[in-house]
Amino acid sequence: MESKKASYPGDSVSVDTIIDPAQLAKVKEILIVLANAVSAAKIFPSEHQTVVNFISDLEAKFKEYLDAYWKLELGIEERAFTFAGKKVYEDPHPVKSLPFFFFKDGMKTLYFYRGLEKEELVAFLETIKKVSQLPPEEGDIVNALWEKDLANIRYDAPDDFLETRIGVGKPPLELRVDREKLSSGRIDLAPEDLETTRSSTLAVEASVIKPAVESVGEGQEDIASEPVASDEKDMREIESLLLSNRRISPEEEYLNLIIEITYLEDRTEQFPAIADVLKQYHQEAVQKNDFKRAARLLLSLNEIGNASATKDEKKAAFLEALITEISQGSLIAELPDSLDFNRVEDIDSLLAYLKLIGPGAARSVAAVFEHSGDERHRRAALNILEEIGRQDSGLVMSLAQESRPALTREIIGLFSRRRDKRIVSYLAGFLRYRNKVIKLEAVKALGEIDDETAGKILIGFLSDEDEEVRTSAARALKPVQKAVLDHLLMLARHKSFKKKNRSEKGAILEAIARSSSDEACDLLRKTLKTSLFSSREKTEMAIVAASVLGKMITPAAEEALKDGAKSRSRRVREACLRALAEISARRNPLAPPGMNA
Amino acid sequence: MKAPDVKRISPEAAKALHHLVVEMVIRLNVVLKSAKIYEPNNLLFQRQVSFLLNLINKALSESGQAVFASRQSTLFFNNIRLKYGFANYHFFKFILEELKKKEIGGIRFEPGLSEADLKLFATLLAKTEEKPAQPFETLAAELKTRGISHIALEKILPSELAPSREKYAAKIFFLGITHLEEAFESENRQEKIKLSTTRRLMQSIFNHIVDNESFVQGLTNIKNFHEYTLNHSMNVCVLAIALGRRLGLDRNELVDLGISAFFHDFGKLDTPREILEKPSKLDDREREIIEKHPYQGAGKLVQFKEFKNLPLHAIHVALEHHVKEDRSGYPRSFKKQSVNLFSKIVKIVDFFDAITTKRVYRTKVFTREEALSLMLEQSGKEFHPLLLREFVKMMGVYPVGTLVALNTGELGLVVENNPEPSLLLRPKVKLITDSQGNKVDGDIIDLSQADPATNRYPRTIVKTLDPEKYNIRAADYLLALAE
Repeated sequence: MESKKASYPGDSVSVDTIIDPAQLAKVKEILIVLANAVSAAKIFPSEHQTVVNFISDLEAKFKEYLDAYWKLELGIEERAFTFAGKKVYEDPHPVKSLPFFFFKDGMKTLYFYRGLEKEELVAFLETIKKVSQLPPEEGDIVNALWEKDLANIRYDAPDDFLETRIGVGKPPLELRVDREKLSSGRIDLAPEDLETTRSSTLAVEASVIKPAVESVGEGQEDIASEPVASDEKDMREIESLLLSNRRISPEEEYLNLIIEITYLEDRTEQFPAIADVLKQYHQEAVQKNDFKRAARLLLSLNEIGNASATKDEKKAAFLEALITEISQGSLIAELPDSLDFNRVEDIDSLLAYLKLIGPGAARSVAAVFEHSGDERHRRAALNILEEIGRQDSGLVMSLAQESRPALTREIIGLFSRRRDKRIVSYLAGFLRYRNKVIKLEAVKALGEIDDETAGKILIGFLSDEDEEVRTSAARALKPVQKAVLDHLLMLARHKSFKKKNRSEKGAILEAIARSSSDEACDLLRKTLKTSLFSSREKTEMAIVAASVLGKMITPAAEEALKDGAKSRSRRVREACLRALAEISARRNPLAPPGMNA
Repeated sequence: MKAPDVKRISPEAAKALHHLVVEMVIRLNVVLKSAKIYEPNNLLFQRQVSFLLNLINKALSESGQAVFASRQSTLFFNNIRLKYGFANYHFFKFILEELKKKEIGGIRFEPGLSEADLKLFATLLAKTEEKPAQPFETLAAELKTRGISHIALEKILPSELAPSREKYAAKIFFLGITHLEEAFESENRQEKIKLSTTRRLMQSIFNHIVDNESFVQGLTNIKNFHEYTLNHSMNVCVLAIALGRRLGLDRNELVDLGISAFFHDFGKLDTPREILEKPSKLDDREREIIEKHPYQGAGKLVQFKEFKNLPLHAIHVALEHHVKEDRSGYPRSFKKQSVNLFSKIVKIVDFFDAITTKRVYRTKVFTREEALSLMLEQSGKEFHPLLLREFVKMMGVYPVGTLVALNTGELGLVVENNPEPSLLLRPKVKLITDSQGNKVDGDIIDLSQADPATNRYPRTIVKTLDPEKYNIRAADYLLALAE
């Protein structure tokens, strides 16, 4: 099709310009497609087929038009686009109309130029979409398009528009110039200025002659091509400054700034506002799983607090209260439930942060232990719990649950290694547990704590359904209290004792023997007494008793064993003799074997 | 004529192409200047044209098209905005001015362009003897008459030719002062500050600086208008954007810089007025109070209700604009190791504007020239040396607003610097007195224009003068130009 241009490329069309009806029709088509594309872009994502189709159609129509006419210049009215003074698109909708969208921000003309690329159209539509989604006081299409700086989509938005936003209702500021004054009267130079002016005038006479050769001359063909070496060096340095400026992490820099401001601010009335800013920052950091920054904030607040302690008590107190509020706030309380470990990239920073939080973070630390497969992290978590436990053992013990066997075991171990009596009462709770590993750990812990209540709890474990637990409990018992010894003696005398396995029986009898009491010795002696016709169980018990007596190394034990060595049961006799040999060996560890028999 | 398909190129190739295009701009600069001096058959001129043609052909073969477009005083090549470094700024400025003189909005070079056509085009473009009423139409007609093909021209937008753009620039300047006053008032009333309007204002300032940097810089000669802090902040904003542009900040960065400079003294809201305006030297307590305004301003900005739309740099600048390059100054930092680039820029322009402004407590007011000399002495200690150097270059040997005495006995005010490095001593000057000392509403004279008959410069600057001494307000003359 023969394309009909304006007088020359890019010439503006005005109301007087005679427009080819075909050209007008094309403009209208473009605007219809543009409006549809905008509507689609607002509803669908950019990769949606509807949007893609509209953009392709728009691109094709623009290309056809601009190839022929070079430029499309659209006037913008409140409810219409115009072309050469004629309305070519109207939308009566009071708020949603596309022309109004541009009009409200002061745009008067929109230009599309030949060379317009698809990417520019896409950017244009996305900008419209983005601005339309902002609150009215924030959205400004002129601002947004200015930032986009599209080469072939330009606009006219006269500065007058700013008068509708600035100084409304006030007389405009202006500096009135009295032109009359500027061109009437005289300026007489002071003598010193006149003098130097005259002498300088003489001196410059030679320079008033223009050099014969300008900046371009023979042999200087490349003078324009390369900046001089010092300029290059300066350019590189400036580029380096700009690059550094662009690489700044906004979050990091903002943190630096608010720390500085917190350090410097000394007005008490400003503290609440600062607290709000700091809490807000902390919250955002935690919500974004940026625990490194969150930790840095807390550390810095601590440091500032310490620095303020001597010179500004009110500030120090404010910071302490703030740190406490942060550490004990709902954000921390909810952290274990809100943490998505799949999205936490830096567990080290998380742990460092939790350590700073202190007791309030106990549940979160437990969660880290549970979720982490890295032994180093688990160890670090336990260290934090140990530290928290020093202040509040109950808090840490409350984390021990049957559903967390590994953690519970570790927690029990933490306290038992320190022989911390504070956990004794908590350990009673494990009597009800089914998890054997936990119970064994609890038993072990109770055995290491020298406490009356611990002994009573261990007695409870003597009735456990698991044999290993019962045996361990017996081994752990230190029957210094009468009640414990009485219970053990009762157990040993009970008819069900015979049915227990050897190691359990041994453990109970050893426990009894540890009391070194007459009752203990008496029971063991009686147990040694057997006959040819004694039952297998009774014989077993006698052998166990012999073994236990062998560990007692007391004269009474030795006496009992000597009696037992006379037993009619060969096995019992042999057991007693072995025991006696052991006693002797312990007494004389250096004697050769057999000498002590 | 069908538009050629644009080839898609990789980022590395785009960078190489940008470098090539900058070379083309510089070469075009040389060609046009040669065309002004030499006859078309001059060998040197022809050689320059040949070099330029090679570059154009290279661009055509790599990109498929070679289109220069001037949009709102910015040069684009094949839809890419061209960035200049401060070393070649004057080349770009020259080209834009030459295009504007002929009302050209775009030049398309097409494959098959001959050296003869390019030479003729350059000659026609560089012609300045005639000033037709319709320069574009005249040039287009000449191209057609001469049968120059493979070069297509596009006319500039009418809005870019609007007369009295200086008038709008001045209007924007005063609107800026009003806007800042409103921001201060909003802050006092705990109301929202309209940052989208601030952003729009900065964009407008940027547009005007691009359009006529000298005039906008000249507006910073307006001092103590309405209220010192407001006027001063506006001056700092304008100078910061101008300097940032020279350094190569992109436009969005420049808007951020402008906003940062705009609010740099926001902390003075909390400084008692009697201290700000005390006519004598401050005592220790007063000094301590005033030295709090940086962090108090930063604190205020952090608490802005529209904080998320405020550039972070604004807080840096508010906090650091009195920190010296050697890290002395105030406030003393707690942990922060570095000073932000924007803070360094604002520090320079802030200091400059402050010491060139008459204040009740200031016994000595420096002329612009004196201020630059003083600042250079503090290079490295108080100011970043490279940034300061660029600022001094930007302001020129004779900054806009400088009162000068000419060898003819006339007095003039510098209204525009010559961007050509070799002609820094020859700015454009508005004559304000005749040779006898009578005030006149004189012409603007380009001191770099020699008399063609004698090859002599009719006028030369022999001395700069202190306008305060002669009760001259440079701003008045500049604003008169805008009317």
